[in-house]
Amino acid sequence: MKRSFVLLVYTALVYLFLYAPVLVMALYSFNQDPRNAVWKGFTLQWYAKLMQDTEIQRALLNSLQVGLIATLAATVLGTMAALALTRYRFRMQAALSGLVFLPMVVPEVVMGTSLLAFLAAIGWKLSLSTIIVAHIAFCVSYVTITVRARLAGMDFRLEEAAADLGAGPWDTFRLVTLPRILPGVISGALLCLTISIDDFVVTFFTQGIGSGTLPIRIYSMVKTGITPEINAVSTLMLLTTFSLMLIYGRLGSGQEPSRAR
Amino acid sequence: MEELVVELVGVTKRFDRVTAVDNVTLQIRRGEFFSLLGPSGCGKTTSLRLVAGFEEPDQGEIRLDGKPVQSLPPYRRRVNTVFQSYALFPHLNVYDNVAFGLRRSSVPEAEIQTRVSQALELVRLPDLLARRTTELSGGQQQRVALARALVNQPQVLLLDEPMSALDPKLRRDMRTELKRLQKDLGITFVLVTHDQEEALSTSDRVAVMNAGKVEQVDAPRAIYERPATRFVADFIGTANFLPATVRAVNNGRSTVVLADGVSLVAPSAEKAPVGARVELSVRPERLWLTREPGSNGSNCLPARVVECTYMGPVTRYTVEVAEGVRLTTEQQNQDVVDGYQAGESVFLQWRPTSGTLLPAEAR
Ligand SMILES: Nc1ncnc2c1ncn2[C@@H]1O[C@H](COP(=O)(O)OP(=O)(O)OP(=O)(O)O)[C@@H](O)[C@H]1O
Ligand SMILES: [Mg+2]
Repeated sequence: MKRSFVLLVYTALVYLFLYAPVLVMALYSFNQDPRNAVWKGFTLQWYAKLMQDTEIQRALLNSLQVGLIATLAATVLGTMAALALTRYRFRMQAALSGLVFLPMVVPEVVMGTSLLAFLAAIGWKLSLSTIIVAHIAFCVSYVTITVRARLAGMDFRLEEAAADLGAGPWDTFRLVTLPRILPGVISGALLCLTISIDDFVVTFFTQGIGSGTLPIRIYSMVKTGITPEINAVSTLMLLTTFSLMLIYGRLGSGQEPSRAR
Repeated sequence: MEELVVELVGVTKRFDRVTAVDNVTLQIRRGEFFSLLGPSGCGKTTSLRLVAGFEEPDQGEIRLDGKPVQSLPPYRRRVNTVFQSYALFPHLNVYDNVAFGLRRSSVPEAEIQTRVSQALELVRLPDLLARRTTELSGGQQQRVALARALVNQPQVLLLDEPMSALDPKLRRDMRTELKRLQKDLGITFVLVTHDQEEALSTSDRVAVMNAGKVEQVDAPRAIYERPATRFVADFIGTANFLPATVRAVNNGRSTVVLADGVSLVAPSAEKAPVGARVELSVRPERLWLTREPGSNGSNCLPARVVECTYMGPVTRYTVEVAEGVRLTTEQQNQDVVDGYQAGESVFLQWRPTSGTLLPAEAR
């Protein structure tokens, strides 16, 4: 009885520590006080102001563009990589399989500087497209890993059965492989989108003039003091990320039951 | 000459270290029920996969309908496979599973409908069209797999141990069912199995495989009655072996002598010329025991009963005819009083025609 009470308080404190800052931030986005020091009453004016802020809008547009294009490309490339790693045998397969994890463990600053150095070396002018390329680079691993997990659990005989019934490689992929790995593909894509929209460090290194994304814009706004407007943007970003992760979570748990026999 | 649907000519397939299929030559005739029988790992599945196109031979040629098919991928070969694990598409229902092959060859949807329901009727599957295949019993899944393959009217249907996942009773029923289907449809069936009863009872011809090689191809009766090698004799049913040397060959009858000089008679065999070291194989049910030596032209060996096991309708005896040479025989328990005891001296007899001469294997 007593132990469970202690546990309860402890748990509550952990969650408070984790979520209190976020909640305060969200709450103060509705604060009337422009200096955001004390609570002066409820308002939606900062959200309205956001709607008119062209800088924010441009950043948002950049973010969406980067996020969607990078996700799309990374999903296709990552799925293909996963197929190659599981369906074909070639030299150095084990090494390449392990290297897939690299972008996930390399510190982002290192990734950012190396990408910057690389882009400079090949003379690619920094712009929105360099951000996109950079995002594709670190997103591919996430897709490869989620799709590969799905493929590992898939009976390869299904593909043979399709071929046996007259389906060529493309039909087999479209009608058998893809439906089987789709949850993994979608999970990977959602993960990409979330990470891409949130990313600051790599984007910071690879951005060109006027190509800053939302996190970059927020950072530059913070330099002149935290306004309720920043709280409002951040709250919106948080909601987006949360919803994406929620969908991701649902997909992960909603796997079909395995065959009884 | 009969038409050949499937031909393997000197086909060899190696994986890393194992030679799964070793210089195999097989000829399968149109419309026949052909079985590949052999112990686990002897290369049955690999042979089937070579025909289906999932594996490429390292050497040799595979012909379907007289044409070499090495360069054809599986989806261009007019063969269909029933996989051991069935490999039904879990994301499709029964109807879509069965219709899969027809859709690939652009059959009009109306025709697909009739053919799918015909195929499901053929395998006696009650109306389960909309069911997910994951919601079917093992026997039902097997029937769907069969329908999914048969609906395409393949030249050859390949079946890889299709009944191994079923319980024994269902397996016997499906065996009869398969035989009926094959007869009705006239499609060539190639069945892979390690169950000799299954192979013998369904097939027109059986190929017995061992360690990647084909030991014998023959009708079931011939496989059992006239095994070509010691392996076949031993693998199919049970067999007794007596090491001997051929003394004379005369008019289809060979005289052989055992190590202790006793001579026996058996049908001649091509691979057992005069002077050859052979093994005389006799099935347990062809032997009988007596207390007196026979005089009616049957082979007769003095023996000592080592062990007797009462098993209801029959009693199984192990007898020793020479130091270390033991044979088993089963005797019907027709007469309640007439039983032999362990240690008793008896005579072991069999008709000359019941024996088979096998070339002695170098060991
Ligand atoms: N893909 C593969 N890679 C490596 N070795 C293989 C492969 N497929 C089969 N083999 C080997 O080839 C040999 C023959 O295998 P195969 O599956 O044809 O046997 P089988 O007669 O079907 O046996 P079972 O009755 O157990 O199914 C075995 O030694 C097996 O280990
Ligand atoms: Mg097998």
